[in-house]
Amino acid sequence: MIEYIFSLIIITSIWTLLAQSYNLSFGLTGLFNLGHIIFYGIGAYTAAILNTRYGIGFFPNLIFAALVSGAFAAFFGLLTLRLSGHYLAIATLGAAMIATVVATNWVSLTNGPLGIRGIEEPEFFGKIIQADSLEFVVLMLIIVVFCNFLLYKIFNSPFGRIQRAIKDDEIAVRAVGKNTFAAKSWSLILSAAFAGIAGCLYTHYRLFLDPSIFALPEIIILILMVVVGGRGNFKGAILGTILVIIIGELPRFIGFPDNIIGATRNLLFAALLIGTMFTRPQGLFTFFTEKE
Amino acid sequence: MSELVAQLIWNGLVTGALIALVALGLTLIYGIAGFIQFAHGEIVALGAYNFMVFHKLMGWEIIPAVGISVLIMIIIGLILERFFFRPVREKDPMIPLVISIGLSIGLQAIILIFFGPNILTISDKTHASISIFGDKILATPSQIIAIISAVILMIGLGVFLKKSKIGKYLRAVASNREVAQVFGMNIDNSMKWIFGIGAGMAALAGIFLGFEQNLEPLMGVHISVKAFSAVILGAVGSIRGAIIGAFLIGLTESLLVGMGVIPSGFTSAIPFVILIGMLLLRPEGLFGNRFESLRR
Amino acid sequence: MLKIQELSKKFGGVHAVEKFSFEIKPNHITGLIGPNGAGKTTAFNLITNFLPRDKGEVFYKEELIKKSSAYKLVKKGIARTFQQIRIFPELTVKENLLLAMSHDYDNWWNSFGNIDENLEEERIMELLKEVNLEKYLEEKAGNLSYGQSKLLEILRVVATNADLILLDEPAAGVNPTMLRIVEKLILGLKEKGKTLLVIEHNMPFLMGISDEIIVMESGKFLCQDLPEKVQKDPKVLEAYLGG
Repeated sequence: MIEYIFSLIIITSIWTLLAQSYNLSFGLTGLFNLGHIIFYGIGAYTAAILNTRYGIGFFPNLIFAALVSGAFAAFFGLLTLRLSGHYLAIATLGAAMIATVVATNWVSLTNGPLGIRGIEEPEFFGKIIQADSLEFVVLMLIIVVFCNFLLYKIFNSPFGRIQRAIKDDEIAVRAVGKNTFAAKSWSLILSAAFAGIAGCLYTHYRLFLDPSIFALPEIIILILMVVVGGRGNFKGAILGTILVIIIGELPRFIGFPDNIIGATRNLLFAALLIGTMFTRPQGLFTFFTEKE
Repeated sequence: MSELVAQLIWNGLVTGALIALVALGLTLIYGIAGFIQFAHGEIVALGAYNFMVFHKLMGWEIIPAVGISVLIMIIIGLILERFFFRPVREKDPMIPLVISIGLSIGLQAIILIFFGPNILTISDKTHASISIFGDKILATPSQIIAIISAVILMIGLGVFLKKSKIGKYLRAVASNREVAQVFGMNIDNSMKWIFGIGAGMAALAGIFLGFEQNLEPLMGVHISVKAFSAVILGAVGSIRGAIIGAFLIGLTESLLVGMGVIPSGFTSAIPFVILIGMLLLRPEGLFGNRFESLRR
Repeated sequence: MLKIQELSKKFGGVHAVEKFSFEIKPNHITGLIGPNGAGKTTAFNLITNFLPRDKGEVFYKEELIKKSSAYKLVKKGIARTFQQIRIFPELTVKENLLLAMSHDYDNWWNSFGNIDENLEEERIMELLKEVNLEKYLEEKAGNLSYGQSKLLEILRVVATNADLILLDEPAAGVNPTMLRIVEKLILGLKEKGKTLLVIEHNMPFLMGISDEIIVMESGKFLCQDLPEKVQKDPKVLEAYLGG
């Protein structure tokens, strides 16, 4: 029982980091980053491959995952951020759409549909930290809280201010002398880097990875977490994550048959997302967290 | 020309025709409504599933089944426009985008719930291949009809946009939405037309796709990537571009995979690679204007 | 201060701006007028690189300005406002101005340092006091009235510390009381050594503040002279009445 609670805390904290990372590019800057799940998956696969093939441990993997995901983001950014936002939408969504295909077919790199097994647990000064143990929970929380702290600093800095201004009116930001292309690029890169870290956490927790991490409908979960909390709202993203995870568990709770639980959940999320867009696009938690 | 290449070209043209039907709707919607309708692929899928219900489950003859399926999807397209996109039209462009993603995932879920995750077929023994072009190419009747219908529809669309009153309205709105509104043009009407036309063509594409590749819940997603790539390849908002882009993608896919250059598992990645290539080399598309793509 | 030579821009078949040339002197307020569609805002866009020039050269302080990105010009000392107000509605008034001021700590790695924004706050308060907007310091800019937003946009362009300021219709839609504040602000800028180029349709207002007026018609240069002379010039009258 206690292990169930631990696993819930671990999963929730990983999602919190992922959602907050998304909040930076999609929420704060307003970039049409629709395939964010791809940065998560790339980070996860980077960690898995480096660990199983080259024995790279958990802690260095955090850095590598961040770097590789960030590099992909830099690439997408370079291609599309000088163009209208819709191009980024298509590029990221398209990438997410074919990520499963690539992960499944590039067997030499990813071991295909069988996935990668035997990933090692984190090791701290010779001591192995087991999944679902108290030490693991503490480790996860430390890392997630630290990353969130970094993101918090970024949100509330002059850099964060430029992002909010870009979301309002990019042309005006250029008119006051800012290089919006660079600003947007960094937002996307940092966003992806933190997502990559979340992916690495996931890999070293589950100890198994397959292409299902790129499952398309998961995109909606991320969008929902950020939108429900209020785009760009730091605390909102955390509350949004918790709310969405709770709602996601409902179909199983209510007792829908197993074979359609996934689809039912997605339908519920879709309805919630569309509903929020219509009624309170600024987010459900704004009255709790904004000091107006 | 070897028989293999001829066959591959034929297959590529068929695929291209179907991608074109989907891409045209997308490019029209982007050009006139200003956003990418991410649920367009699901309209394709629903068209196919609809047809399956009427033809296979309810036993209707093919042509009436096609007719009713296309009609239903046009109605659904109009419903989507009226209730999901029109109310949020003038606000933050992120909103219709996110709504369309919600719709896409929601519709995929509905398909999964009602039809299950397995592959379903709609063609049967009466659709055996026949030889055309002097025994060099093997084509199924559905492929032949697909290409002919697609060409007719594309020509029809072109004529419609150029000559009819609505068509002229649409072109005016596409070139400058704000100005068109000032001149009193009814944007609501224009939207109805493009969503209706787009949905109709998408449904038809779905049915033909169903004959080609069978039905599965993610079929909408797969054709979407190809259609997005075709739209960007040709130039967003360009009709000519969407058509040429679609055929280019269809042919490239067919030839590269058929001749063994690319392993078949990676087929779906090809349009995406083409997309990335275009963004690198010529983001405004083949028929685009350099400045236009930057401005919006 | 600013010299424009043979500036040209075509849209399809339409010459929005054609062989437009003029020169303005430092520390002067120069007005730019012309009937609707004369190409004034397009000229602004071309000068500030918001639109790429087809032909022509722009010289600022004797230096040739390259056709590079618009944002780089602000550091060089050229800044502009827009015909439709472009402030940042979700940011506070203070943040709107801070954004224009903070040039050095915009990078994300400075997010972790200690930035003393209080230094800037003094300057911001000074600016706001000039137009009686001090109490709106922490107010969301989106809550301001039309006239207040216009003032904010002008203040923001002043905050960039640019020496050459291009104002696009600063008086449009502004009530008479506010108009006097705008006038005071603009004249005050001249006193501080700034050079201004102002597009306006409000003739009495513009004639009152300008040292010189440039007239544009159908994308071309018509004339450049003292306000009194321009007002009596038959060519100018014809441009407004005939076209």
